[in-house]
Amino acid sequence: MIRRPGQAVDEGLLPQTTVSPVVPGFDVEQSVRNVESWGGDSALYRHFLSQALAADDAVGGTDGPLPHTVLTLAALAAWRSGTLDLRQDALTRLGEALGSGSVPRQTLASAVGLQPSELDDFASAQAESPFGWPARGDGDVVIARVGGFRGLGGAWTAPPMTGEHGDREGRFVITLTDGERWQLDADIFGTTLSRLPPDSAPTTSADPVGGPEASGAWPTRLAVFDTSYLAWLVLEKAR
Amino acid sequence: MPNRWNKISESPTRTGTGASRPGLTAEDLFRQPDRVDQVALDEKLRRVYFWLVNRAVISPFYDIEFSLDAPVSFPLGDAGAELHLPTDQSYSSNVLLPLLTTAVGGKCLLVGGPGRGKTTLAVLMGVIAGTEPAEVRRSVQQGQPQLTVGDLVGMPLPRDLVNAASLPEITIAWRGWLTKPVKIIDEYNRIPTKTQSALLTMVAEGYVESYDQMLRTAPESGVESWFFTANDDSGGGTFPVIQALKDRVDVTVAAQGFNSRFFDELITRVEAGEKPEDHVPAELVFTAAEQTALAAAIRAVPVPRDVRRHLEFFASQFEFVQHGGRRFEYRTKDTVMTAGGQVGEVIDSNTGADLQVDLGAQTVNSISARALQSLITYAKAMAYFRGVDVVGLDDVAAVLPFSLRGKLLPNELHPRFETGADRELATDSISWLGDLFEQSRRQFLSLGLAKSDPVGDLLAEFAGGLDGVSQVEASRRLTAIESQIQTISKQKKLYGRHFDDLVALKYLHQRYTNYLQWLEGRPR
Repeated sequence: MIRRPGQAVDEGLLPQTTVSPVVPGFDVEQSVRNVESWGGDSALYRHFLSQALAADDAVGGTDGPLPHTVLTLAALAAWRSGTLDLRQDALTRLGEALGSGSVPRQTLASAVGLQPSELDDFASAQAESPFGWPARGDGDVVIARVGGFRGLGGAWTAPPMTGEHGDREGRFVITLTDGERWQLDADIFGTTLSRLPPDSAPTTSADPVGGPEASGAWPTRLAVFDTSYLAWLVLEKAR
Repeated sequence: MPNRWNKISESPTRTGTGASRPGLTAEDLFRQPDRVDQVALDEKLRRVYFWLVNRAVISPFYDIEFSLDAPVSFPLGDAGAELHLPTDQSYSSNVLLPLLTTAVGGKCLLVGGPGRGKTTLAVLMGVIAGTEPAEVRRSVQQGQPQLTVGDLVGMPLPRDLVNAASLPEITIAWRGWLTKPVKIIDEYNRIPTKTQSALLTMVAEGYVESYDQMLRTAPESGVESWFFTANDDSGGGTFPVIQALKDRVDVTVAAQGFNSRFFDELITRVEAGEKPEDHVPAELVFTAAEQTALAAAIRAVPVPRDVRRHLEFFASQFEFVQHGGRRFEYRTKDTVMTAGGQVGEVIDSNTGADLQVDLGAQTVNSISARALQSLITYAKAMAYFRGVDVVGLDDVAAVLPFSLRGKLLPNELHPRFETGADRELATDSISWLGDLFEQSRRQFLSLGLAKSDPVGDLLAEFAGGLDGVSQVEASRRLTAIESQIQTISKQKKLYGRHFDDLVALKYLHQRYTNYLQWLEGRPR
C-alpha cells in the first residue's frame, strides 16, 4: 500500500456532503474557494461547517444562526480542515464562545469534530501547543505525514534526509537527499510545506532532531526513513 | 465587448510556495481576494508580460530559464544540442527584456532580420507606457542615410531666423517624440554619424540642444526608455554606429524568428486586419505615477553581499593582460587597445597562465563601470519581476548575457573558439556569456572565496574609518597588506582576479602610509 501525506485526525473521515451550506448574508462558496487557496481541504470545510450549522439549527430553532455564530463556526471549520493561518482567530473565537456561552457547546464541538465534553480539554491543550489534543495516548503518536513523491501527487522528487525544529513551535526545516530544503509549518489539523531558497540561512533551533522544543508537555519530532519519501511528524510522550 | 485581445492572466501570475498569511480572520474567509485594480505593480508587470507573450506577440521562445529542480534535458541530434525543460516560470527574452527596459527607463537594442516584430514590440512598449497607439507609431524615428539633426529634433521657426538678433531669440519647433516616455529609433545603424552624435546627447544626457535652446527629454514620470532596432549588431548597416552610442545600450536582444506551428494565429491576424498595439487592455497601461513608483521599487531591490562578491569576482577577470604594459597598473587590455595593438596576440604571447582557467583570456576587452551599472539595474528588475525580495545569482545569470552582449567581446584567437565543441560559442554570444558567468561562479566556489576573502576583510576594516586608529594599529594593518601582497606574489600564475586585488591592496597601503605620515608629522 502506498502511504500518502495527510493528518492523523482526518483518517477514516468521510465528508458527508459535497454541497456548500446556504447561509443568508454569507457567501459560503467564496469561503470554500478561500479555504482551498489557503491550503485547507474544501471537502472537509464543507463537511464540518454543515455539521456545525445543522447542530446549531437543532439546538437554536428556525431563526437561523446569528452572524457572529456563523463567523465562529466558519473559522473553526476552516481551521479544522487544515487552514493553519486561521488557528489564532479560531482559538480566540472558541475561547470567547465557551466563556460567554453565546454558541451552544454541541455546535462548537461539531465544527471541530469533537464531543462537547472534550471541548474544554481541547481549548486548554491548544493553549499549550499547536499539537494539543484532548485524547492523547500513552506512547508516540503520528500527527501527520508530509511530503511524498511528486510522481504520486506529493511534493518532493527526493526522499527527506533530515528534519530539524525550526525557529518556533510547529515549524521544521527538512533537508532532502538532493540538497533541497523545505519549511514545514504544522499544527494538529494541517501542514504547509514551502520550499526554502537555496542560499537562505536555515532558521533551525540549535537542537538536532528529537531535541527538546518549546512545549515540554507536547514534544514533537520529525522522523525520516531511508525507504520513504514521507516525513512523519510524531507527538512524543510528555516529558 | 470581450474579444480575443482582452484576456488577461489571472492573478496571482506567480504563485508563492505556501507563504504564510498571518492574521487571517473569519471575516477574510468571506471576502474576495484582491481585485485587478488593487494589484501590486510587480503583479501588473507580470500580467503585461503574459498578455504580450500570450496575445500580442507570437513568441513561444522560453530562453530565459529558471529551475527549482534540475531541468529535464533531452539530447537532440548528433551535434551536442540539448533541449531543457525548466521547472520554474521561465521567460521569452525578446519580450521580457524590452518590458524590463520600459520599467527601469533603460535603453534596449532589438536586433534581427526584417519582419521579426522588432518595431511592433517597441511600439507596444510605447502604448504600455501610456501613449496612444497612433501617436507611438507616428513617433517612431526611421533611420535613413539622409536623416539630419533638424529632422530628428525639430526646426527653428523661419520668422525668428530672419528677425532674431541673437540665438536665444530663435524659437525651436521641437519634435513631439522627444518627450514621449518611450522613444523608438528604427534602424539606428542607417543614421549618418553626425546625427548619431546628436542622438547620443539625448540618450546619454537626457536633453537636446539646437540654436542655443535646450529641451529636457524626460516625460512627466521621469522614466524614459529608448528602443533601437537594427538588422545587425556587428558593424553592418549604412553607417557604423559610434562606439559611445553603442555603449549606452543597456541590453541587446535578438528578435526570434516565426514559429510555423503558430500559423493559424498569423492567418487570423491577416484576416482580421488587426494590430496588437491597438488592443492593449486599459488595465495594463501604466500611468506616469505608476512608472515613477515602478522604477523606484526596482532600484530598491537589494543586492546581497554574496551576489555582490560573485559579481566582483566575475568583473575582476577581464581588465588584466600580462604583457599589456610594463608598469603593473598598465598591464591592461585597454592599454593595448588604445595603443592600436591586438589584444588577442598579447594574450597569446603569455605563457605564464593557463588559458583554460584564465577567463580573462577569452575576451579582448573588459567590462565598463557603465555596463556593470546596467547589469545591476536589470538584475534588480528581474528579481522584482519574479517577485523575489533580493537579487539572486539566478537573476544576474538571466540578464548578464543580454547586458554584456556587444560589450564584452570574445577573443577569437582563444583556443576555445578555434576547435572542438565550443567553437559555436564564437558566434553565439548569449550562450558564451552565460557560460562565462557560470565558469566564474564555479571558480569562485572552488577557490573557497565564499568563505574566505582576506582582501575584502582588509577593505572592510579600512571602511570602518581611520578616526582613532593608532600608529601601532596602522602599522599592523600595513604589515597585513604587505603580507597579503606577498601571498599573491608567491603564486607563479597571475590572473585578472589578482590584478584587481593587488591594485586595491596598493590603494589601501597608500592610504595607511599617508595616514601614518600624518600621525607622525602632526604636533603633539
